[in-house]
Amino acid sequence: MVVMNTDFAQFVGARQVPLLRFAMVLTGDARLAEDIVADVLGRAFEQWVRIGAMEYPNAYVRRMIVNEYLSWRRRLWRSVPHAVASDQLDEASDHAHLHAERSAMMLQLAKLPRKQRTAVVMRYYEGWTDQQIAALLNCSAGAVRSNVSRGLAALRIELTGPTALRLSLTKET
Amino acid sequence: MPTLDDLRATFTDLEARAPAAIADSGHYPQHAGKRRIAVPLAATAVVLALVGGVVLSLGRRGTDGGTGSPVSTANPPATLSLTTYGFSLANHPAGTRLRYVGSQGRTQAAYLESPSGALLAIVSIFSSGAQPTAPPNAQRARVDGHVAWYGVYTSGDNTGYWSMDPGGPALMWQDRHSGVWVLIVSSPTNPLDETPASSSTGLVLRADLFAMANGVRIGETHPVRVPATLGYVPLDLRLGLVQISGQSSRGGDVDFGFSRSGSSHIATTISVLTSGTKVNAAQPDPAAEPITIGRYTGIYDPTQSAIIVHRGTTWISIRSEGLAKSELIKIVQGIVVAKKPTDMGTWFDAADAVK
Repeated sequence: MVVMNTDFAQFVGARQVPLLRFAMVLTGDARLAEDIVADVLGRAFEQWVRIGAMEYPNAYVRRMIVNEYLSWRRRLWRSVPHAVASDQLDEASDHAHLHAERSAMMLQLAKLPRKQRTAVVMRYYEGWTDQQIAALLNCSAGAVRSNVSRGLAALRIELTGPTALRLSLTKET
Repeated sequence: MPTLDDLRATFTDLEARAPAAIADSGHYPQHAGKRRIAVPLAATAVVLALVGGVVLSLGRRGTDGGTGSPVSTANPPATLSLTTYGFSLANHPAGTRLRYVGSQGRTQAAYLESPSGALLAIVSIFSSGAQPTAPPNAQRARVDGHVAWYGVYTSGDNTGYWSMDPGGPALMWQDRHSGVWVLIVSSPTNPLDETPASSSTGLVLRADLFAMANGVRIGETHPVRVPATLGYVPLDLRLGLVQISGQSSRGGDVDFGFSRSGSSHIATTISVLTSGTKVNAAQPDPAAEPITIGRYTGIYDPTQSAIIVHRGTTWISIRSEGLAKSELIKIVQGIVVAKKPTDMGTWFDAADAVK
Protein backbone atom coordinates (compact mmCIF):
# COMPACT_ATOMS: atom_id res chain seq x y z
CA MET A 1 0.00 0.00 0.00
CA VAL A 2 1.19 3.48 -0.77
CA VAL A 3 -0.11 6.85 0.21
CA MET A 4 -2.23 8.29 -2.54
CA ASN A 5 -1.52 11.38 -4.48
CA THR A 6 -3.58 14.11 -2.86
CA ASP A 7 -5.46 15.02 -6.03
CA PHE A 8 -6.27 11.41 -6.71
CA ALA A 9 -7.39 10.92 -3.13
CA GLN A 10 -9.71 13.89 -3.47
CA PHE A 11 -11.02 12.57 -6.76
CA VAL A 12 -11.73 9.16 -5.28
CA GLY A 13 -13.28 10.67 -2.22
CA ALA A 14 -15.59 12.87 -4.23
CA ARG A 15 -16.32 10.60 -7.19
CA GLN A 16 -16.11 7.02 -6.09
CA VAL A 17 -19.69 6.67 -4.94
CA PRO A 18 -21.16 8.33 -8.07
CA LEU A 19 -18.89 6.15 -10.20
CA LEU A 20 -20.08 3.05 -8.40
CA ARG A 21 -23.67 4.12 -8.93
CA PHE A 22 -23.02 4.70 -12.59
CA ALA A 23 -21.32 1.31 -12.91
CA MET A 24 -24.19 -0.33 -11.07
CA VAL A 25 -26.74 1.15 -13.47
CA LEU A 26 -24.55 0.17 -16.38
CA THR A 27 -23.92 -3.40 -15.33
CA GLY A 28 -26.87 -4.22 -13.09
CA ASP A 29 -24.45 -6.29 -11.05
CA ALA A 30 -23.01 -4.97 -7.82
CA ARG A 31 -19.96 -7.20 -7.84
CA LEU A 32 -19.14 -6.52 -11.44
CA ALA A 33 -19.66 -2.80 -10.86
CA GLU A 34 -17.29 -2.85 -7.92
CA ASP A 35 -14.75 -4.88 -9.84
CA ILE A 36 -14.83 -2.58 -12.84
CA VAL A 37 -14.61 0.59 -10.80
CA ALA A 38 -11.75 -0.80 -8.73
CA ASP A 39 -10.02 -1.85 -11.91
CA VAL A 40 -10.51 1.50 -13.59
CA LEU A 41 -9.51 3.48 -10.52
CA GLY A 42 -6.42 1.35 -10.28
CA ARG A 43 -5.47 2.26 -13.83
CA ALA A 44 -6.38 5.87 -13.27
CA PHE A 45 -4.15 5.90 -10.20
CA GLU A 46 -1.23 4.70 -12.26
CA GLN A 47 -1.87 7.39 -14.87
CA TRP A 48 -3.09 10.15 -12.61
CA VAL A 49 -0.47 12.65 -13.64
CA ARG A 50 -1.96 12.61 -17.12
CA ILE A 51 -5.63 12.05 -16.26
CA GLY A 52 -5.62 14.50 -13.39
CA ALA A 53 -4.43 17.20 -15.75
CA MET A 54 -7.42 16.74 -18.04
CA GLU A 55 -10.18 19.29 -18.10
CA TYR A 56 -12.80 16.69 -17.19
CA PRO A 57 -11.11 13.73 -15.47
CA ASN A 58 -14.45 12.46 -14.22
CA ALA A 59 -15.81 12.19 -17.75
CA TYR A 60 -12.69 10.39 -18.83
CA VAL A 61 -12.92 7.89 -15.99
CA ARG A 62 -16.57 7.26 -16.82
CA ARG A 63 -15.54 6.48 -20.37
CA MET A 64 -12.97 4.08 -19.00
CA ILE A 65 -15.74 2.35 -17.06
CA VAL A 66 -17.90 1.99 -20.15
CA ASN A 67 -14.98 0.73 -22.22
CA GLU A 68 -14.09 -1.78 -19.56
CA TYR A 69 -17.68 -2.98 -19.40
CA LEU A 70 -17.79 -3.37 -23.16
CA SER A 71 -14.32 -4.75 -23.60
CA TRP A 72 -13.85 -7.88 -25.56
CA ARG A 73 -11.95 -9.40 -22.68
CA ARG A 74 -14.70 -8.81 -20.16
CA ARG A 75 -17.22 -10.42 -22.47
CA LEU A 76 -15.13 -13.44 -23.23
CA TRP A 77 -14.21 -14.02 -19.64
CA ARG A 78 -17.75 -13.99 -18.49
CA SER A 79 -17.35 -17.30 -16.78
CA VAL A 80 -17.61 -16.08 -13.26
CA PRO A 81 -20.62 -17.14 -11.27
CA HIS A 82 -21.94 -13.97 -9.84
CA ALA A 83 -25.14 -12.54 -8.59
CA VAL A 84 -27.05 -10.06 -10.65
CA ALA A 85 -29.54 -7.57 -9.42
CA SER A 86 -32.20 -10.23 -9.42
CA ASP A 87 -30.85 -11.76 -6.25
CA GLN A 88 -31.76 -8.64 -4.42
CA LEU A 89 -35.19 -8.31 -5.88
CA ASP A 90 -37.02 -10.14 -3.15
CA GLU A 91 -36.00 -7.51 -0.68
CA ALA A 92 -37.53 -4.80 -2.78
CA SER A 93 -40.63 -6.55 -3.96
CA ASP A 94 -42.21 -7.36 -0.66
CA HIS A 95 -44.85 -4.77 -1.14
CA ALA A 96 -46.18 -2.77 -3.99
CA HIS A 97 -46.89 -3.62 -7.54
CA LEU A 98 -44.62 -0.74 -8.51
CA HIS A 99 -41.60 -2.51 -7.12
CA ALA A 100 -42.56 -5.66 -8.93
CA GLU A 101 -42.67 -3.78 -12.21
CA ARG A 102 -39.28 -2.22 -11.62
CA SER A 103 -37.86 -5.55 -10.60
CA ALA A 104 -39.14 -6.98 -13.84
CA MET A 105 -37.55 -4.12 -15.73
CA MET A 106 -34.23 -4.74 -13.99
CA LEU A 107 -34.36 -8.31 -15.14
CA GLN A 108 -35.14 -7.19 -18.68
CA LEU A 109 -32.26 -4.71 -18.53
CA ALA A 110 -29.95 -7.49 -17.42
CA LYS A 111 -30.88 -9.46 -20.51
CA LEU A 112 -30.03 -6.71 -22.97
CA PRO A 113 -26.82 -7.14 -24.95
CA ARG A 114 -24.15 -4.92 -23.46
CA LYS A 115 -24.01 -2.47 -26.31
CA GLN A 116 -27.77 -1.99 -26.28
CA ARG A 117 -27.80 -1.59 -22.56
CA THR A 118 -24.95 0.89 -22.69
CA ALA A 119 -26.73 2.94 -25.33
CA VAL A 120 -29.93 3.02 -23.27
CA VAL A 121 -28.08 3.93 -20.08
CA MET A 122 -26.00 6.65 -21.72
CA ARG A 123 -29.08 8.13 -23.33
CA TYR A 124 -31.54 8.01 -20.47
CA TYR A 125 -29.31 7.94 -17.40
CA GLU A 126 -26.41 10.08 -18.52
CA GLY A 127 -28.41 12.17 -20.97
CA TRP A 128 -25.89 11.92 -23.77
CA THR A 129 -26.67 12.72 -27.38
CA ASP A 130 -26.59 10.17 -30.19
CA GLN A 131 -23.35 11.67 -31.43
CA GLN A 132 -21.69 11.47 -28.03
CA ILE A 133 -22.76 7.86 -27.60
CA ALA A 134 -21.66 7.07 -31.14
CA ALA A 135 -18.19 8.39 -30.38
CA LEU A 136 -18.08 6.34 -27.21
CA LEU A 137 -19.25 3.13 -28.87
CA ASN A 138 -17.26 3.71 -32.03
CA CYS A 139 -20.29 3.42 -34.27
CA SER A 140 -22.61 5.67 -36.21
CA ALA A 141 -25.36 7.77 -34.69
CA GLY A 142 -27.80 5.65 -36.65
CA ALA A 143 -26.47 2.54 -34.98
CA VAL A 144 -26.92 4.23 -31.62
CA ARG A 145 -30.53 5.04 -32.44
CA SER A 146 -31.04 1.48 -33.55
CA ASN A 147 -29.53 0.13 -30.33
CA VAL A 148 -31.62 2.45 -28.20
CA SER A 149 -34.74 1.61 -30.15
CA ARG A 150 -34.18 -2.12 -29.89
CA GLY A 151 -33.33 -1.80 -26.22
CA LEU A 152 -36.51 0.08 -25.48
CA ALA A 153 -38.50 -2.40 -27.50
CA ALA A 154 -37.03 -5.26 -25.51
CA LEU A 155 -37.94 -3.39 -22.33
CA ARG A 156 -41.40 -2.86 -23.79
CA ILE A 157 -41.21 0.78 -22.96
CA GLU A 158 -43.92 2.91 -24.35
CA LEU A 159 -42.67 6.15 -25.76
CA THR A 160 -45.03 8.89 -24.78
CA GLY A 161 -44.86 12.62 -24.60
CA PRO A 162 -41.99 14.70 -25.92
CA THR A 163 -39.71 11.77 -26.68
CA ALA A 164 -42.25 10.06 -28.88
CA LEU A 165 -43.03 13.30 -30.61
CA ARG A 166 -39.38 13.98 -31.27
CA LEU A 167 -38.89 10.52 -32.73
CA SER A 168 -41.94 10.96 -34.87
CA LEU A 169 -40.72 14.28 -36.20
CA THR A 170 -37.31 12.82 -36.88
CA LYS A 171 -38.87 10.05 -38.86
CA GLU A 172 -40.85 12.43 -41.00
CA THR A 173 -37.89 14.58 -41.85
CA MET B 1 -46.94 -0.69 -20.17
CA PRO B 2 -43.81 0.87 -18.66
CA THR B 3 -42.69 4.32 -19.71
CA LEU B 4 -39.40 6.19 -19.76
CA ASP B 5 -40.21 7.48 -16.30
CA ASP B 6 -40.31 3.89 -15.11
CA LEU B 7 -36.96 3.30 -16.75
CA ARG B 8 -35.47 6.28 -14.98
CA ALA B 9 -36.99 5.14 -11.70
CA THR B 10 -35.40 1.75 -12.31
CA PHE B 11 -32.06 3.46 -12.76
CA THR B 12 -32.59 5.16 -9.44
CA ASP B 13 -33.39 1.84 -7.82
CA LEU B 14 -30.22 0.38 -9.29
CA GLU B 15 -28.19 3.29 -8.00
CA ALA B 16 -29.42 2.50 -4.53
CA ARG B 17 -28.04 -1.00 -4.89
CA ALA B 18 -24.55 0.19 -5.76
CA PRO B 19 -21.80 -1.20 -3.56
CA ALA B 20 -20.22 0.90 -0.87
CA ALA B 21 -16.88 2.64 -1.34
CA ILE B 22 -13.91 0.47 -2.30
CA ALA B 23 -10.64 2.03 -1.32
CA ASP B 24 -9.53 2.82 2.18
CA SER B 25 -9.42 6.49 2.88
CA GLY B 26 -5.97 7.83 2.14
CA HIS B 27 -4.59 4.66 0.66
CA TYR B 28 -4.85 2.74 -2.53
CA PRO B 29 -3.38 -0.62 -3.51
CA GLN B 30 -0.01 -0.14 -5.12
CA HIS B 31 -0.78 -2.83 -7.66
CA ALA B 32 -4.36 -1.87 -8.16
CA GLY B 33 -4.04 -3.05 -11.73
CA LYS B 34 -4.31 -6.57 -10.47
CA ARG B 35 -8.01 -6.01 -10.30
CA ARG B 36 -7.93 -5.72 -14.07
CA ILE B 37 -8.24 -9.39 -14.51
CA ALA B 38 -10.16 -10.17 -11.41
CA VAL B 39 -12.78 -11.70 -13.64
CA PRO B 40 -10.46 -14.13 -15.38
CA LEU B 41 -8.87 -14.82 -12.04
CA ALA B 42 -12.19 -15.60 -10.55
CA ALA B 43 -13.03 -17.71 -13.59
CA THR B 44 -9.85 -19.61 -13.09
CA ALA B 45 -10.60 -19.96 -9.43
CA VAL B 46 -13.96 -21.41 -10.31
CA VAL B 47 -12.41 -23.94 -12.63
CA LEU B 48 -9.73 -24.80 -10.16
CA ALA B 49 -12.34 -25.14 -7.49
CA LEU B 50 -14.21 -27.54 -9.71
CA VAL B 51 -11.08 -29.45 -10.49
CA GLY B 52 -9.36 -29.63 -7.23
CA GLY B 53 -10.66 -27.33 -4.62
CA VAL B 54 -13.60 -27.07 -2.42
CA VAL B 55 -16.80 -27.35 -4.38
CA LEU B 56 -19.63 -25.34 -3.01
CA SER B 57 -22.25 -27.59 -1.61
CA LEU B 58 -25.40 -26.31 -3.15
CA GLY B 59 -27.18 -29.54 -3.81
CA ARG B 60 -27.76 -32.77 -2.03
CA ARG B 61 -25.06 -35.15 -0.98
CA GLY B 62 -24.63 -38.86 -0.87
CA THR B 63 -24.61 -41.65 -3.39
CA ASP B 64 -27.16 -43.91 -4.91
CA GLY B 65 -26.32 -47.41 -6.00
CA GLY B 66 -22.68 -46.55 -6.48
CA THR B 67 -23.36 -43.48 -8.57
CA GLY B 68 -21.85 -40.38 -7.05
CA SER B 69 -23.73 -37.25 -6.37
CA PRO B 70 -22.59 -34.20 -8.31
CA VAL B 71 -21.59 -32.54 -5.11
CA SER B 72 -18.36 -33.39 -3.38
CA THR B 73 -15.68 -31.81 -1.30
CA ALA B 74 -12.92 -34.25 -2.16
CA ASN B 75 -11.47 -33.62 -5.57
CA PRO B 76 -7.91 -34.33 -6.64
CA PRO B 77 -5.29 -31.58 -6.60
CA ALA B 78 -5.66 -28.86 -9.19
CA THR B 79 -3.75 -29.40 -12.39
CA LEU B 80 -4.15 -27.92 -15.82
CA SER B 81 -5.27 -30.69 -18.10
CA LEU B 82 -4.27 -30.45 -21.74
CA THR B 83 -6.23 -33.56 -22.63
CA THR B 84 -9.93 -33.52 -23.39
CA TYR B 85 -12.70 -35.97 -24.11
CA GLY B 86 -14.42 -36.16 -27.41
CA PHE B 87 -18.18 -36.14 -27.22
CA SER B 88 -21.08 -36.30 -29.56
CA LEU B 89 -24.81 -36.30 -29.46
CA ALA B 90 -27.13 -39.03 -30.66
CA ASN B 91 -30.92 -38.85 -30.83
CA HIS B 92 -30.81 -35.10 -30.72
CA PRO B 93 -33.73 -33.10 -32.05
CA ALA B 94 -33.90 -32.92 -35.83
CA GLY B 95 -31.73 -30.25 -37.33
CA THR B 96 -29.84 -29.43 -34.17
CA ARG B 97 -26.08 -29.63 -34.03
CA LEU B 98 -23.37 -29.79 -31.42
CA ARG B 99 -20.55 -27.28 -31.81
CA TYR B 100 -17.42 -27.48 -29.70
CA VAL B 101 -16.66 -24.08 -28.17
CA GLY B 102 -13.76 -24.56 -25.89
CA SER B 103 -11.80 -26.09 -23.08
CA GLN B 104 -10.94 -24.42 -19.86
CA GLY B 105 -8.93 -26.11 -17.18
CA ARG B 106 -10.39 -29.59 -17.09
CA THR B 107 -13.78 -28.70 -18.51
CA GLN B 108 -14.82 -28.65 -22.12
CA ALA B 109 -18.02 -27.36 -23.57
CA ALA B 110 -20.11 -27.41 -26.70
CA TYR B 111 -23.14 -25.51 -27.81
CA LEU B 112 -26.24 -27.33 -28.90
CA GLU B 113 -27.72 -25.13 -31.58
CA SER B 114 -30.94 -25.09 -33.52
CA PRO B 115 -30.93 -25.20 -37.33
CA SER B 116 -31.06 -21.40 -37.30
CA GLY B 117 -28.03 -21.18 -35.03
CA ALA B 118 -29.88 -20.27 -31.84
CA LEU B 119 -28.30 -21.60 -28.70
CA LEU B 120 -30.48 -24.24 -27.09
CA ALA B 121 -28.22 -25.68 -24.44
CA ILE B 122 -24.61 -26.04 -23.35
CA VAL B 123 -23.07 -29.44 -22.81
CA SER B 124 -20.04 -29.56 -20.50
CA ILE B 125 -17.82 -32.48 -19.71
CA PHE B 126 -15.72 -32.52 -16.59
CA SER B 127 -12.47 -34.40 -16.94
CA SER B 128 -11.90 -37.28 -14.63
CA GLY B 129 -12.04 -36.15 -11.03
CA ALA B 130 -13.78 -32.84 -11.66
CA GLN B 131 -17.47 -32.37 -11.00
CA PRO B 132 -20.22 -29.88 -11.63
CA THR B 133 -22.07 -28.25 -8.81
CA ALA B 134 -25.72 -29.10 -8.48
CA PRO B 135 -28.34 -26.37 -8.37
CA PRO B 136 -30.06 -25.88 -5.06
CA ASN B 137 -32.95 -28.26 -4.55
CA ALA B 138 -31.79 -30.55 -7.34
CA GLN B 139 -34.04 -33.56 -7.81
CA ARG B 140 -32.94 -37.07 -8.56
CA ALA B 141 -33.66 -38.29 -12.07
CA ARG B 142 -32.29 -40.82 -14.54
CA VAL B 143 -30.18 -40.50 -17.67
CA ASP B 144 -29.24 -43.51 -19.72
CA GLY B 145 -30.43 -45.68 -16.87
CA HIS B 146 -28.19 -44.01 -14.31
CA VAL B 147 -28.92 -41.66 -11.50
CA ALA B 148 -28.84 -38.03 -12.50
CA TRP B 149 -29.71 -34.72 -10.94
CA TYR B 150 -32.10 -32.19 -12.38
CA GLY B 151 -32.57 -28.66 -11.15
CA VAL B 152 -32.76 -25.03 -12.10
CA TYR B 153 -29.78 -22.79 -11.64
CA THR B 154 -30.39 -19.55 -9.91
CA SER B 155 -28.37 -16.41 -9.95
CA GLY B 156 -24.82 -16.97 -8.89
CA ASP B 157 -24.71 -20.73 -9.34
CA ASN B 158 -21.78 -22.14 -11.19
CA THR B 159 -22.59 -24.31 -14.16
CA GLY B 160 -19.09 -25.48 -14.81
CA TYR B 161 -18.00 -23.63 -17.88
CA TRP B 162 -19.88 -20.45 -18.57
CA SER B 163 -22.00 -18.67 -16.10
CA MET B 164 -25.66 -18.91 -16.87
CA ASP B 165 -28.33 -16.37 -16.42
CA PRO B 166 -30.76 -17.39 -13.72
CA GLY B 167 -33.49 -19.83 -14.57
CA GLY B 168 -31.54 -22.27 -16.67
CA PRO B 169 -32.69 -25.87 -16.16
CA ALA B 170 -29.79 -28.25 -15.81
CA LEU B 171 -29.24 -31.97 -15.83
CA MET B 172 -26.05 -33.69 -14.71
CA TRP B 173 -24.93 -37.26 -14.47
CA GLN B 174 -21.87 -39.46 -14.39
CA ASP B 175 -21.26 -41.17 -17.71
CA ARG B 176 -21.45 -44.92 -17.24
CA HIS B 177 -18.56 -45.76 -19.56
CA SER B 178 -15.97 -43.07 -18.93
CA GLY B 179 -16.96 -42.13 -15.42
CA VAL B 180 -16.79 -38.43 -16.21
CA TRP B 181 -19.48 -36.02 -15.17
CA VAL B 182 -21.59 -34.45 -17.88
CA LEU B 183 -23.71 -31.35 -17.47
CA ILE B 184 -26.29 -30.10 -19.90
CA VAL B 185 -27.87 -26.77 -19.17
CA SER B 186 -30.20 -24.50 -21.03
CA SER B 187 -29.62 -20.79 -20.94
CA PRO B 188 -31.83 -17.91 -21.95
CA THR B 189 -28.85 -16.05 -23.39
CA ASN B 190 -25.71 -16.93 -25.23
CA PRO B 191 -22.94 -16.36 -22.68
CA LEU B 192 -20.40 -15.47 -25.33
CA ASP B 193 -22.15 -12.71 -27.21
CA GLU B 194 -25.22 -12.26 -25.05
CA THR B 195 -27.69 -12.62 -27.84
CA PRO B 196 -30.92 -14.35 -26.93
CA ALA B 197 -30.25 -18.06 -26.75
CA SER B 198 -33.43 -18.99 -28.47
CA SER B 199 -36.59 -17.45 -29.69
CA SER B 200 -39.26 -15.99 -27.52
CA THR B 201 -40.23 -19.51 -26.58
CA GLY B 202 -37.31 -19.28 -24.19
CA LEU B 203 -35.82 -22.25 -22.46
CA VAL B 204 -35.57 -25.78 -23.66
CA LEU B 205 -38.29 -27.93 -22.18
CA ARG B 206 -37.42 -30.42 -19.48
CA ALA B 207 -38.41 -33.31 -21.73
CA ASP B 208 -36.13 -32.03 -24.49
CA LEU B 209 -33.28 -31.72 -22.02
CA PHE B 210 -33.67 -35.35 -21.00
CA ALA B 211 -33.93 -36.45 -24.62
CA MET B 212 -30.71 -34.63 -25.44
CA ALA B 213 -28.97 -35.95 -22.32
CA ASN B 214 -29.82 -39.52 -23.21
CA GLY B 215 -28.13 -38.98 -26.54
CA VAL B 216 -24.79 -37.76 -25.21
CA ARG B 217 -21.91 -40.08 -26.03
CA ILE B 218 -18.47 -39.63 -24.50
CA GLY B 219 -15.56 -40.53 -26.73
CA GLU B 220 -11.87 -41.15 -26.24
CA THR B 221 -9.49 -38.61 -24.80
CA HIS B 222 -7.30 -36.60 -27.10
CA PRO B 223 -4.83 -33.75 -26.71
CA VAL B 224 -6.07 -30.19 -26.71
CA ARG B 225 -5.05 -28.62 -30.01
CA VAL B 226 -4.32 -24.94 -30.42
CA PRO B 227 -3.81 -22.78 -33.52
CA ALA B 228 -0.61 -21.11 -32.30
CA THR B 229 2.48 -21.68 -30.21
CA LEU B 230 4.44 -19.33 -27.99
CA GLY B 231 8.17 -19.25 -28.57
CA TYR B 232 8.92 -16.84 -25.77
CA VAL B 233 7.37 -16.33 -22.37
CA PRO B 234 9.09 -14.50 -19.52
CA LEU B 235 10.72 -16.95 -17.15
CA ASP B 236 8.64 -16.12 -14.12
CA LEU B 237 5.32 -16.80 -15.85
CA ARG B 238 3.66 -20.18 -15.46
CA LEU B 239 0.91 -21.49 -17.72
CA GLY B 240 -2.31 -21.69 -15.77
CA LEU B 241 -5.06 -21.65 -18.33
CA VAL B 242 -5.69 -22.64 -21.91
CA GLN B 243 -8.97 -21.74 -23.48
CA ILE B 244 -10.06 -22.37 -27.01
CA SER B 245 -13.07 -20.79 -28.59
CA GLY B 246 -14.44 -19.98 -31.97
CA GLN B 247 -13.13 -23.28 -33.22
CA SER B 248 -14.70 -23.80 -36.59
CA SER B 249 -14.00 -24.06 -40.27
CA ARG B 250 -12.96 -20.40 -40.05
CA GLY B 251 -10.14 -21.18 -37.65
CA GLY B 252 -9.98 -20.88 -33.91
CA ASP B 253 -8.96 -18.65 -31.05
CA VAL B 254 -6.77 -19.53 -28.12
CA ASP B 255 -6.12 -17.79 -24.84
CA PHE B 256 -3.10 -18.68 -22.77
CA GLY B 257 -3.32 -17.49 -19.19
CA PHE B 258 -0.18 -17.15 -17.10
CA SER B 259 0.40 -16.61 -13.43
CA ARG B 260 3.56 -15.67 -11.67
CA SER B 261 5.47 -18.32 -9.81
CA GLY B 262 3.86 -19.17 -6.53
CA SER B 263 0.53 -17.62 -7.40
CA SER B 264 -2.62 -18.86 -9.09
CA HIS B 265 -3.55 -15.34 -10.12
CA ILE B 266 -3.67 -15.09 -13.92
CA ALA B 267 -1.51 -12.04 -14.46
CA THR B 268 -0.93 -12.21 -18.20
CA THR B 269 -3.22 -13.33 -20.96
CA ILE B 270 -1.95 -13.98 -24.47
CA SER B 271 -4.64 -14.42 -27.08
CA VAL B 272 -4.18 -15.49 -30.67
CA LEU B 273 -7.31 -15.20 -32.75
CA THR B 274 -7.51 -16.82 -36.15
CA SER B 275 -11.26 -17.29 -36.57
CA GLY B 276 -11.97 -13.81 -37.81
CA THR B 277 -12.72 -12.51 -34.34
CA LYS B 278 -11.38 -9.01 -33.90
CA VAL B 279 -10.08 -7.49 -30.73
CA ASN B 280 -12.08 -4.44 -29.90
CA ALA B 281 -9.51 -1.71 -29.85
CA ALA B 282 -12.06 1.06 -29.98
CA GLN B 283 -11.48 3.93 -27.63
CA PRO B 284 -7.90 3.01 -26.78
CA ASP B 285 -6.27 4.89 -24.01
CA PRO B 286 -4.96 8.23 -25.30
CA ALA B 287 -1.52 7.14 -24.21
CA ALA B 288 -1.63 4.21 -26.64
CA GLU B 289 0.81 4.42 -29.51
CA PRO B 290 1.01 2.71 -32.90
CA ILE B 291 3.38 -0.20 -33.12
CA THR B 292 4.72 -2.45 -35.85
CA ILE B 293 6.23 -5.82 -34.99
CA GLY B 294 7.39 -7.62 -38.09
CA ARG B 295 4.31 -7.86 -40.29
CA TYR B 296 1.95 -7.15 -37.43
CA THR B 297 0.60 -3.67 -36.85
CA GLY B 298 -1.49 -2.30 -34.04
CA ILE B 299 -1.17 -0.43 -30.79
CA TYR B 300 0.85 -0.61 -27.62
CA ASP B 301 -1.07 0.57 -24.59
CA PRO B 302 1.30 1.42 -21.73
CA THR B 303 -1.59 2.01 -19.35
CA GLN B 304 -2.61 -1.62 -19.50
CA SER B 305 0.79 -3.05 -20.41
CA ALA B 306 -0.96 -4.40 -23.44
CA ILE B 307 -0.40 -4.93 -27.11
CA ILE B 308 -3.04 -5.50 -29.74
CA VAL B 309 -1.75 -6.21 -33.22
CA HIS B 310 -3.03 -7.95 -36.29
CA ARG B 311 -1.99 -9.17 -39.66
CA GLY B 312 -4.89 -9.84 -41.98
CA THR B 313 -7.48 -11.74 -39.98
CA THR B 314 -5.03 -12.94 -37.35
CA TRP B 315 -5.14 -10.89 -34.18
CA ILE B 316 -2.82 -11.06 -31.21
CA SER B 317 -3.71 -9.52 -27.90
CA ILE B 318 -1.49 -9.51 -24.84
CA ARG B 319 -2.69 -8.02 -21.62
CA SER B 320 -0.40 -8.09 -18.66
CA GLU B 321 0.33 -6.67 -15.29
CA GLY B 322 3.37 -4.59 -15.79
CA LEU B 323 5.29 -6.47 -18.48
CA ALA B 324 7.71 -4.15 -20.21
CA LYS B 325 7.14 -3.15 -23.81
CA SER B 326 10.27 -5.03 -24.87
CA GLU B 327 8.92 -8.21 -23.26
CA LEU B 328 5.57 -7.83 -24.98
CA ILE B 329 7.32 -7.39 -28.31
CA LYS B 330 9.42 -10.51 -27.74
CA ILE B 331 6.27 -12.51 -26.98
CA VAL B 332 4.65 -11.37 -30.23
CA GLN B 333 7.82 -12.14 -32.16
CA GLY B 334 7.86 -15.66 -30.76
CA ILE B 335 4.28 -16.52 -31.70
CA VAL B 336 3.91 -19.02 -34.51
CA VAL B 337 0.47 -19.36 -36.05
CA ALA B 338 -0.58 -22.59 -37.73
CA LYS B 339 0.16 -22.63 -41.43
CA LYS B 340 -3.50 -22.97 -42.24
CA PRO B 341 -5.60 -22.07 -39.20
CA THR B 342 -8.76 -23.28 -40.90
CA ASP B 343 -7.24 -26.76 -41.06
CA MET B 344 -6.99 -28.21 -37.57
CA GLY B 345 -4.52 -30.71 -38.93
CA THR B 346 -1.96 -27.93 -38.94
CA TRP B 347 -2.62 -27.00 -35.32
CA PHE B 348 -0.33 -27.86 -32.44
CA ASP B 349 -0.72 -29.94 -29.31
CA ALA B 350 -1.25 -27.56 -26.42
CA ALA B 351 1.28 -29.47 -24.39
CA ASP B 352 3.92 -28.45 -26.93
CA ALA B 353 2.64 -24.94 -27.48
CA VAL B 354 4.38 -23.35 -24.54
CA LYS B 355 7.91 -24.41 -23.84
